[in-house]
Parts: sequence; C-alpha cells; structure tokens
Amino acid sequence: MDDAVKEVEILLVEDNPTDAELCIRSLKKSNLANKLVWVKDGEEALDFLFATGVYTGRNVANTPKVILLDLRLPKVDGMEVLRRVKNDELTKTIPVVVLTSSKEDRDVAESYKLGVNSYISKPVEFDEFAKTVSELGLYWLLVNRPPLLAK
Amino acid sequence: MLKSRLSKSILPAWVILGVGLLATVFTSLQVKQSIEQDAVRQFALACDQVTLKIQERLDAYALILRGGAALFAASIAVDRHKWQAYVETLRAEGSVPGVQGIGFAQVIPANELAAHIAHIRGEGFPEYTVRPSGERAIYTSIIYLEPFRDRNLRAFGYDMFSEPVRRVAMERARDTGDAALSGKVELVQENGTEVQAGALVYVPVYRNGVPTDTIGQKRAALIGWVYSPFRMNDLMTGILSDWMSDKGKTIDMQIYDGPQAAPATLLFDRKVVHVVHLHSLFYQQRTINFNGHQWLLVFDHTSTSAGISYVDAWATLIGGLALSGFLFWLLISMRASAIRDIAAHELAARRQVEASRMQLAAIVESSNDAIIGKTTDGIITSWNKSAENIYGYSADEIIGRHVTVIAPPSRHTEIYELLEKVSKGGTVVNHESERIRKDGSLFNVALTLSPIKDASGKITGISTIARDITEKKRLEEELRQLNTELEQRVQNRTRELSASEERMRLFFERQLVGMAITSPEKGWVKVNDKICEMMGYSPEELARLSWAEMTYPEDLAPDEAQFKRLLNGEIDSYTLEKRFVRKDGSIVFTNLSVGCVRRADQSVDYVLALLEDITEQKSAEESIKKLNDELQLRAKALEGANQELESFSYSVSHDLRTPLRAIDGFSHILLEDYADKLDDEGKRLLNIVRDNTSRMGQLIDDILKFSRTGRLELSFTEINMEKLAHEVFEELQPSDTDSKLQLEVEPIPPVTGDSAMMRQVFVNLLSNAIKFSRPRETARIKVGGSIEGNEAIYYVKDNGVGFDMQYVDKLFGVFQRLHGVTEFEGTGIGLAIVKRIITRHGGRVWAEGKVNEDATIYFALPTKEKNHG
Repeated sequence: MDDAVKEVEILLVEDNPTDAELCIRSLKKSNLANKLVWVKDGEEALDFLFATGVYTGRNVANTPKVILLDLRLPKVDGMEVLRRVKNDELTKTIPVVVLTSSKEDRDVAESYKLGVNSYISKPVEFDEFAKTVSELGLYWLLVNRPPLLAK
Repeated sequence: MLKSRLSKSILPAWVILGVGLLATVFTSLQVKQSIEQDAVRQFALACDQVTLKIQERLDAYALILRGGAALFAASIAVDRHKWQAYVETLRAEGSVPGVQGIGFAQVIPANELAAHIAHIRGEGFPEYTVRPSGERAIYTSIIYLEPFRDRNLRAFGYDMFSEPVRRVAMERARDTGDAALSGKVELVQENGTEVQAGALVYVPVYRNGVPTDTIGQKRAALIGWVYSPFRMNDLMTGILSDWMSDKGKTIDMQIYDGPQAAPATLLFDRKVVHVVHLHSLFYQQRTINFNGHQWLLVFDHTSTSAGISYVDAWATLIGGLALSGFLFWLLISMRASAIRDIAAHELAARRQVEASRMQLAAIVESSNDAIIGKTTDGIITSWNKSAENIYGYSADEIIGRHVTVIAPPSRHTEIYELLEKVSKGGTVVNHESERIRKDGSLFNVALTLSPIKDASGKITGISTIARDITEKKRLEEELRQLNTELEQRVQNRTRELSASEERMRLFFERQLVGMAITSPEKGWVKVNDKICEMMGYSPEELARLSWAEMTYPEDLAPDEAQFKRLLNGEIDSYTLEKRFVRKDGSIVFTNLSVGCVRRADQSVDYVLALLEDITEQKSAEESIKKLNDELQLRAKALEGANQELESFSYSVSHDLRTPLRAIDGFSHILLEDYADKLDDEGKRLLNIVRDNTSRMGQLIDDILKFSRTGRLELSFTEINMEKLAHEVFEELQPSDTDSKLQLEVEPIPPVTGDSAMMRQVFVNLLSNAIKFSRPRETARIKVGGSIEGNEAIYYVKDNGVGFDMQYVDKLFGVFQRLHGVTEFEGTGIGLAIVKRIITRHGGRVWAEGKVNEDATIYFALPTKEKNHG
C-alpha cells in the first residue's frame, strides 16, 4: 500500500465535507494541498497517526508537519484526539492547530491546557475563511521550523 | 499502795535513761570510727601524693641524664668544658634540686689505662689516677663531675665499677639501655661527718653509629655512663621541702632500699620523735619501682592519735548523755506531779460530801415548792421559805396551827382523808387540790404527802410538798382553747380545699388542652373531655384502651423510648410531637408533655400527660413544606433548563455557523468559477445571499454574547466611570470622520462593578449614540451622572434621530429595532445586553427621547454597600 511510504504534510481532521472542501480548496490555491490527508472523525485520525485500524501497516514515523483539528467530531471528539496526540512520545512534537466554529472560552482554555499549538475560530465569511486557512498553511508548512524527527 | 504506784510509774523513766545511755555510747563509738576511717583515708591519700612526687622526680632525673647521654651521641667529642656548660645550664634552670652532681664515668680497657691517666694528667691534673688501684680486667673512671668542686672533687678518678653495689646498677644500665638506680651506698663524697645514705642513677653512653640491639652489641659499644649521685636526705628535702613544713610535719616516713624494711637498707628516715611503737592505725606502705629497682616507702603518724579530731565523737557522747538525763528528769517530775494530783483529789471529794449535805439543806430551804411538816393529826411543825411565799403566812405565824387553816372549807374532808391515809403508811403523789392564802385568795396546788418515820419505823409525822399549779392550770386551759381553734381552722381549710379540688376538676374536664392521668402500664386512668374530643372516643372506651395502641405506628418508638426512661427514673418529664389515630381512623397531630408522680421508692405512681392538638398548625407546616419542595423542584428544573440553554448556545456557535459558511463559501466559488456563465442579475442575487449569511453570522455572535452576559460570573472592582467613558469613546471614534463628533463627559462618580461588563455597557451605548447621530452635522454626545440616594445614576445622551416614546418599552428587548436595517446596521441586541448587565449588577435602565431630537439612555447602579447583597 503506497500509504505506507507516502509523505504527509497536512492531516485535516474534519467531519463536515463542505467545510473540508472549502478548506482544501483554499489550501490548493496556495499550492499547499499536495500532501494532505483528510480523515473524517477522531477515530480515523488516531488510526492514521498510530497506524492502527484501516491504517495498519502505515509507517508511524512518517508524521505530518501539522494537524488541522476540528473539535466537534463523531466517535472520538477533537479534545480526546488532542489529548492522545500530546501525551504520546511519538506524536507530541507534531504541531496541532484547532480549526473550529466554536468561539467558546472554555474550549480555548481546555485546548491550550492540553498543549495545542494554535487555536483558530473559522470565520463565517468565506473570503476571510479562505484567507485564514491559506495563511495558516503557509505559516506551518513554510515559515515554522519543526524539530528534527527521526524518519 | 501509793509507793508501789509511784515506783511502777517511774519505771519508764529508768528504761528511757538506760536506752538513751546505750544509744549514746553506741552512736559515739560509731562517730569515732567514722572519724578515724576518714582520717586514715586522708592519710593514705597524702602517702599516695608523696610516693607519686618521688617517682616523678626520679623519672625527671633519668630524663636529664638521658639528655646528657644524648650530648655524647650528638657530639664527636665531649670535653670537660662542654660538660660543664651543659650541667651549669641545667642547674641554672633549677631542674635538679637535691642532686649532688651530674657526671660522666668512662670505660677504660686495662691496656689503655696508662695512656688514659697520662691524657688526663695532661689536661692539668698532675695528681690524677684511677682509684682504687689494683689489677682489674676493666676500669672505669669518673672523669667529669659537675659542679667540679668541694665534695665532688673526691670522686674524680674513682672506679665505680670496682664497687659491687654500684656495679650492679651500672651493668643493668649497660645491658638494658635504660636508666638504672643503684642500691644503698655511701658516696665517696662523704667526708665522715653527717654521713647520709646515698644512691646513684646511671644512663649508658654507647659509641656513635654502632648497633646496640643485643646485649653483646650493647656491651661492645659502651663507652661510659652519664650518672648522678645523690644524698638521700638532701634529695628528699629537695623533693618534699614544701610538704614537710606543712602536712608532713606529723608524718613519719622511711625509705628502704629493696622490698624489705630493715635497718641495713634504710635509705631515708624522717621521724619526728624517735619512739619505738607498734604500727598505728595509719600505717601505710608504698613501693616505687624504678626500672627494676625497688624502694619501699613506709609511712606512719608521729603519734597514734595525732591529726585526728575526736570533737564530734565527744560532742555526740556528751549531747546524748545530756539528752538522756533530761528525759529522765522530765519523766520523774511528771510522775511526782501526778501523785500530788491524787492527794488533792481525795481531799476535794471529802469536801464535796460536806458541801452536798449543806446543799441539801439549802435546797429544802430554797425549793420552789412548799415543804411542810406536820403531825399525823395535822398540826404544822415546819414551814419552809417557799411555803411562806406560796401561802402568805410566816413560819412563826403558822407553826402549831392545823392544816385546815390553809384550805377552803370545801376541802376539809379531803384533808382528813389524806391525813388518815398517810398516817397509816400510805403516800399521795401529785394530788391536785385547792388551798387558800393568808389574804383569802384561792389557788391550785399539787400535793405530795409521805409519812415521816423514826428510827424504829413508827410514823411520827407527815411531810407535804405543795406546788402552786395555778399557772400550769392556766396554760392547760389555754392549750385546750388553742386546740379547739386549730380544729376549727382545719375544718375550714378542708372545706376550702375541697372547693379548690372541685375547681381543678372542672379545669381538668373543660380545658382546651387535653389532660390525662395514665398508668405505668400505658392505660388511660383518667381523661378530660378534650382528650375524648381529640381522639373521638368516649371516656369509657378510652378506659379500655392504652395510648400505645392508639399511637400512629411510626411515632410509637420515640414515645416508648422516652416513657421507658421516665419509668427507669432517668428523667422526670419529656415533650415530643406525635400523632394519634382517632376512632374514625383520621390522624391527630399532638404536642405531648409528660410528667410523673413518684412513690417514696422512686417507682412511678401515675403519669400525667398534657396533649395539645396541633393538627391545624401541622397542616400549615405541611403545605409550606410542600411549597418548598415544589420550589426546589422548579429550581432544579430551571437549572436543567439553564444547562440546556448553555449547550444550545454552544451548538449554535458551532453548528449554525457551519452551514452558513458553506452557503457563503459555495456562493463565492460559484461567483469565482462560473463568473462567465452568470449575468449581472445572477451575480447580484448571489451577493444578496452572501450579505444575508454575513448578517446571520452577526446575529449568532450577538445571541452568544447576550447569553454569555447572563452566564459569566461577576468580579467586582472599583471602576473609574469617567475614565472608562473616555477610553471607550477613543476606541469607537471612526478614524475617517472629521471633527463633527463631539463628546462631553461630566465629572461622574466611580462605581463598584465588573469592569469588563461595564466597558461593554459603554461600548454599546456610545456606539449606538455615534450610529444614530450620524445624520447630524455636528454629533454631540454627552455622558453624565450623579449619586442620588443609594444609587449612582449615569446617562448617555445624543442629538441623533431620537425615538418615539410610545415604543420606549421595546427599546431594551432582544432583536428589537426601531429603524430599518438599511438605515442603521445592527441586530437590535445592544440595549438588551446593556439591560442585562445593569440588571445583574442590581441596577435599572430606562430611556427618554424625542423623534429627530435626542435620545437619552439612563442606567442606575446601587452604591457599593448594596452591590454584594
């Protein structure tokens, strides 16, 4: 399976297909969506990261450069995914950006407590949304310098 | 008999004297022994000190001689001057008191003798020779001895090795390498007068750089001895001079050479008085061992008792004797005084008999009763003082007359009967009768008559004792009257009591409170009407029931528990609320008070119960409780609703936004990707879609803001409202406008409140003011306020479009707008939020306005004290 060796830059965790599409479209416009994997719930996200379930056999060392994480997810919710990622030696260094519709203060506070790297409320207006998504893609893939990982 | 008592009584005195004397002698001996033991201990200690001193001094000398030997070891040659200088230094330091000198004796092999003599003679001693002369295998010679003068000159050239006692010590020093002490000798320095015993100490000097490990090597390496002679008396004076003039004055000391005490080996003898006596109790021996040579030290007191003070023993003896004597005297004198007491007592007894006789006569004379003597016929023969007082006749007047004179005629027959009775030997006791005084007055008497007999037993007369009982009679009468009166009173009281009892009974039966007397077995003994009314039973029915079976089952246990304590005597009363089941099955609530009456043995005789019907009161309480419960349920429901609302608003924030974004996003994509396929109208319509999604987003944000305003907890601080108004205005002022916007802030009081929320209030009010005064040439906004009563009232006024007062009620409602969306933007939630914040602070809001003139929004906040309530 070529998934096992494919290099991944962005892991998009988003259950809403329209939001996902808008997000991917915005990234594509900035040429950032070439190495993007879209998973539709928390469980799939964890399977991908830890090479379990349908992703059994994937090389776990092949970690994404950034995880874009929605909070309201079916099965395993976004907070739980964040907790698992930040508590595992293998994944704790991966930058996680919460990208959500929620503006609730407690969601923000809880996310930072768990070690999120950035918290972004999705703007309602598409222009702004597109701008925000492409800026954060640029920042995390090109501007930010991640720690060296044993690959 | 007196004597034997005396001797018996002084026996204890003798015993005490004997015991006292024995105890005294015994104790004195004990004290003496302890004094002696103490003295011996001290003496032994002194001996130890002297012995130690001598030992130390010998060790010190040995050390000095080793120093001399070391001089030889360190120098290639030690000449006469060097030796002199060395010894002089030591002497100058005073470190060798009592020492005759310090010298060096050289070993001279026989074949070198001539050369040696020649050598020394060459040093300026032409007379020098080695003494004694004679053929010997080996010679030694004292060649240096400092100080080199007087007696010491005699030792020059003397061969000490030729003399057996010295030789032993010299050989021991040579073979051991240690300092060696010689036996007793007479030093060559002695000149025949004041000869003292002497001894010498030798330290060997070996040739430099030659092994001296074995005896053979030591003998081969020997070149001589550093030595020191000393005269014992001089030495001991040097060592012990201080001690001898002080403590040692009374101590005899001898030092013997070797372990035996014998005249031949006596080295040193210090005897103050030369008297031969047996050893005293102080006799002590000590031994000094100096590198294998022994000295025996013998100590004793100059006299057996010297140095001991027996004062304490004597004091004990004398004190004890005195005490025993005193005790003896004391007991003897106490006994003697006791005997004097006995004699005095016997005398007193005799006097008493006499006195009692006289007393008897005096009693008869001074008796309160009349004592009258008469013949058997009734002729008065004696008449005492009281008879005179009672009857009014003097003795002279009445003696010789008949007793009927003093009796009224009605008693004359009685008198004769009594006289006859007593004349025959009978007696009359306390016979009450009447008599008549000299003045003719009658009075009551009690008479006691008895016959007077002579020695042969014949009745010669009659004695009469008469007592005036008039007063007694009067008292008796008075008592009788009192008794009658008392009886009357008791009767009256009893009548009163029964009346009161009747009242009690009525009270018991007719009161509003239920009253009952119950038995310890829980039966109703007596009940009043009220109880019957409360329970719905007749008294007869109740009499067959117990209160326990009428009690509401749940309430039985507490009552029975208390009732048990009452029966046990733990408590005397108790009160509780309980329910009874009425005859008709309904329940009556009562307040029960129970008390009891106990018998003498503390067991309960009967029980009193008071019952108050509190059913109505209870049902009121019940309904209040019901209301409370309901209220609590509602509060819980409200809380649930609140939580629901919260999760609703959470969903709103998340879920409602998502489709909006999709609508907006895909409209945008449509415009972007299909621009060439859409005409202008199509694009316009799509843009309307997009405008509305944006408005919808704004609405959602406002709703959330509004709901958050209600949920957030307030944190109170002191807020400078004037400064806050200025700050907010600065932030809101649009940068593109020119100077047509004017803000005026009056001095306004500070307030205590949540600063973030209060900021929101100003943001909303000022942005409204700016918005609605936009059409004006010059927009004038005014902020003011003052304290009125216990409120701080603030207002924000603008000269904008104003409003119609008939819609004032709608102003603060959610999503209430008085203008079209196209006229003024906004969702209509700003004032609703203001109202909510002010309400949460315990304040109020209101507005005044006129269409096209002005609008003023007021808000009032309670001053500090009320804020936290």
